[in-house]
Amino acid sequence: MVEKLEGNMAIDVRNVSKTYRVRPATNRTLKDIFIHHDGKKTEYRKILHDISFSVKRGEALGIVGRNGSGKSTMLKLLTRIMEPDSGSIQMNGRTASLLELGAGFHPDMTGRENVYINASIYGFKKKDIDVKLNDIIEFSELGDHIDDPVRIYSSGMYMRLAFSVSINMDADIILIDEILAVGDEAFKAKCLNTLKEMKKNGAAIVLVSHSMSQIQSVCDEVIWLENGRMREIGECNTVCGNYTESMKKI
Amino acid sequence: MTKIVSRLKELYDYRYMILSLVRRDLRGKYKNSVLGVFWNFLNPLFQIIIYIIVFTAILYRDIDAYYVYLIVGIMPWFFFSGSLSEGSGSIVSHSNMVKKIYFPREALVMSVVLSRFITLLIAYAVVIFIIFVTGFGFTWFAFALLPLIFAVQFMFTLGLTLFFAAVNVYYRDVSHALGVLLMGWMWLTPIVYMRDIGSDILQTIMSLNPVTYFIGAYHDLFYYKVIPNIGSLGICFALAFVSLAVGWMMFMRLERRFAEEL
Repeated sequence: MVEKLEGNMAIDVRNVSKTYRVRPATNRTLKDIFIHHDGKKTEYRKILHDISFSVKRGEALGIVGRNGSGKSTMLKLLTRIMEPDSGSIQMNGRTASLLELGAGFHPDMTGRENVYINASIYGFKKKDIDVKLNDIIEFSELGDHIDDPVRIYSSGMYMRLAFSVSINMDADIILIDEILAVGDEAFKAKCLNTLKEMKKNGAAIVLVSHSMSQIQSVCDEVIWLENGRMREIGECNTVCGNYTESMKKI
Repeated sequence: MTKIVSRLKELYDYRYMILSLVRRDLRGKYKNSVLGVFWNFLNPLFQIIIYIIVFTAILYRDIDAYYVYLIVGIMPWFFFSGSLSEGSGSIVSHSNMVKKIYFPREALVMSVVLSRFITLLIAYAVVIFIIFVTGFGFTWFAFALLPLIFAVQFMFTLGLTLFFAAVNVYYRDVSHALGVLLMGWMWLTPIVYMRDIGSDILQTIMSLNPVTYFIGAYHDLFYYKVIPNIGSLGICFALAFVSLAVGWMMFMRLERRFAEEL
C-alpha cells in the first residue's frame, strides 16, 4: 500500500480530505438530555477537500489563506497529530514541527533544564541534546541567563529559547505555523536566514504565514487555500500577488 | 500485533521524554524551597506519622502493631488513587501539547503513574525504616516478593489510568466522578480496618473490589508475615494483565481523535 517515495521527494500529499466531528456534547447538560430530549446531533464539518501537493528536498512550500481556510489543519495532518479521512500522506525523513513553542517548559526550572524537557518531547535523547546544547544556547542569545529560571524571562527571551530548541533539531522536514513573529526584527531575520540555510542543505520546509514578505523570502511554491479547497497553486510571487489582490477587494 | 510492537518500539524511543517529565514533576514541584527534593521524602514521612497518631490514638488501640497494618496498606493505596486522579486528567491538561506535537500519547499518562510510583518507593523506604526501628521485624520472603507485588500493582494502576485518561477526553465528567469515587472506594477497601470485620455485605463488596487483593498482599508480606496464598496472587496477576491489556487497547482506539476533541 505504501510505495516508497523517490529519492528527492520529502512530502507527498494526494487527494487528502479531512472532516471534523463537532460534538455539541460539551454544552449539553443532563437537563437537555432528559427533559428537553434535545435532538442535537454530532455535526460533521469538512475542513479540507481533495488537497494534493508535493515538496522536494531543498524546497519550501508556503500556505496562505484567510483564517479558517484549513492551513493549520493541513499542518496537523502532516505532523501525524490527526489522520485524514481519505487520501494519502507520505513523509520521507525526520520531521520537526514548529507548531507549539516551549512545550513542557516549567517556570521554576532554568532555561538549560527546560531545553532538555522540551527537546525530549520532540523525541530527542539526552546524548543528542548534550551535543546540541551549545548551539541552542548560542542561537537563543541568552548568554548567562540560560541558568536563570524561565519564570523571570521576558516574553521575548522565552520565545527565543523555545524557538532555538525547535530550529536546532536536525530535521529533513520542517513545518512552521505562524510563529516567526518571535523576538525583535534582528532575531526574526536570523531565523529566516537559518531556514534558508537549512533549505540549502536539503531540508524541505512548509511554512504557514500571513506575512507575504516572510513567505516570499523563503518559499519557492505557494498554495492558496480557500474554504478548505486549493484555490491556486504555483510559483511563489504569482500566487502571493493574486492573494494580496483578492484581500484588497474584501 | 505488529501495531502493538511498533507502538512499544516508539515508546522506547520516547523513553527520555517520559523520564524528563517524571523528573520535571518530582523536582519542579519543590523548586524554590529550601529543602528541595528532600520534600519527596519528608512528605510521606509526616503523612505516615500523622496517620499512625490519628488512628492508633483514636481508633484501634487494642490491635497489636496496628501502625504496621496501616502504613503498609495505605501507601500503595495513595499510589493507586493519586495515579488515577491525576493521571485521568493528564491528556486534557496537556491539551496544547497533544494538539500540536506528535509523540506517543501514553507518555503523558505513564509519566504521571511513574512519578507516583517513585513516590511510593520512597514512602516504602520510610515504612521499612519504621518497621525496622520499632523492632516489629521482617521475613526474608517479604523482600523477595515485594518487587513482584509492586510490579502487578503498577500494571493494574497503569491500565486503569490509561483507560480513564482516554475516556476523559470525550467526557470530562470522568475525572470529577473519579475524585468522588476514589474517596468512597478507600473505605470499601481493607486499609484502615481489618479484612475480616464488618457485615456480610461489606465482605462481599471487599471480595469484589480488585484493590483488596493488592492491598491484602502487602498486609500478608509485612503485617501477617505470611506468603500470600496462590489464589489471591493469581487474582492479582489476572487483574493486572486484563487491566493493562484492556486499558491500553481502549486508549489506542480513542486516541485517534484526541487532537480534535481537545
